[in-house]
Amino acid sequence: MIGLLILFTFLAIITVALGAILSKDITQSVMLFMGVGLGSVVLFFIFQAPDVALTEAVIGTGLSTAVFLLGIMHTSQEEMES
Amino acid sequence: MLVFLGYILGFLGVALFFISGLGLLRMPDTLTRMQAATKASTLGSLLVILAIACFEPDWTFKLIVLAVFILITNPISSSLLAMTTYKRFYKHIYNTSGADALKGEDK
Amino acid sequence: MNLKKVLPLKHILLSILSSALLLSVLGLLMQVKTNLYKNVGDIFLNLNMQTATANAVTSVVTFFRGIDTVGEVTVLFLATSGIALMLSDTQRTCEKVVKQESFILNVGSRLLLSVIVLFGVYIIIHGHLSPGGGFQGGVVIATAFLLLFLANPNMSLSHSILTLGESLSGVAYVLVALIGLFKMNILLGNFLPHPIGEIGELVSGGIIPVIYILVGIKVGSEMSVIVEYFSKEDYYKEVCDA
Repeated sequence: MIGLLILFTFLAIITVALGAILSKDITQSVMLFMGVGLGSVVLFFIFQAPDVALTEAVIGTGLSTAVFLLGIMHTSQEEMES
Repeated sequence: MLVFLGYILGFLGVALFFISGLGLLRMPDTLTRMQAATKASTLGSLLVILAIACFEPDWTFKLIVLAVFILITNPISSSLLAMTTYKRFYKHIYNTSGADALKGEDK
Repeated sequence: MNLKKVLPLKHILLSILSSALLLSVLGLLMQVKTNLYKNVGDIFLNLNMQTATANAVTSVVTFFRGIDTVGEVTVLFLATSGIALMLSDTQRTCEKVVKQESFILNVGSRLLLSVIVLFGVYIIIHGHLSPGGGFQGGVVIATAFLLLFLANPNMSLSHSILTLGESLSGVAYVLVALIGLFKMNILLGNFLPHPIGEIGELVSGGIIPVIYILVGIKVGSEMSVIVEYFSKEDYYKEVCDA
């Protein structure tokens, strides 16, 4: 049962990562990258590493997504206003 | 008995999530899609949390904290999304009834 | 419908490569047996009595590999200094302009700020009992401030208090490590009393909660400064250009 969950999580991570690579829109790509982090949180938790899971949840899905989005906002300002 | 109630509530919550996903795919414009994605999923999350409280009565306090968190964050984000969409993309809104309650506001 | 146009060869190769990787990882997972753990982990678990924490990972991070934690804190300090050097601009004099802000967002973010900061403090204080610790709790506090800055651009942190707290906690961390060196002949030695009988109590583990609180203050203030620089840059540009 837990093996099935691990398998599905792996498949979801690979799907989301492919989507993040192939996506044309950079904001969408960042959001899908956050999905990769979310899947790895579940994997770390299943493999009994709650410390790493907590770190990944806070940094991988919280702060790094925010910093990416703020960076996109700063660099593409003219594009957004047109 | 409590477990049976939990199954019913969980099924209702998952059904609401399904409806929310369906609405996200089928609705015509941003406002209606956003309404499907936020309102239905708020109620769905609350029902799933109630179902978990029926399965594990010891976790009730933590689940109440979770429910309050969802009840604070989800409506705030949806109202902000709606206001931003109304102000910036007013021309693209799918408005068949012609009603506009926020007509006096600047767009 | 041309298949080659919809799915280019590169993507097909990429998918095949990733599925082969998945299969090999699964094959490795199948071969893992639970009785093969007679290695470093067991030695660390036996030595865990020296530090007397309920959470073995904590003893590794703060005691056996404590010098690594000092290095990580130094790396974070250098990163903060670099970001401050790049993004700070001393000629900003036009920050008094009040930008229009949403009432609902303002009230909601203030309501959530206290809850998130409380959660971060809980993670820091319970670092030696449950998963988490100084780094994770500090970053949780920084995300609370990120929420505040995104909701309310007129908000600003007091940099003098943050700098004072950050440098004082860093100095205190090194001092704790040096006291351990003098009293126990080990860097970061656990010189406070930590009887075996009270493993799992909140006040236990000797210097480990002290180290985690210091690291939490340091990481929280550094990350808050980084987040403030990143989120304020846009606002200053908008206000100063207008």
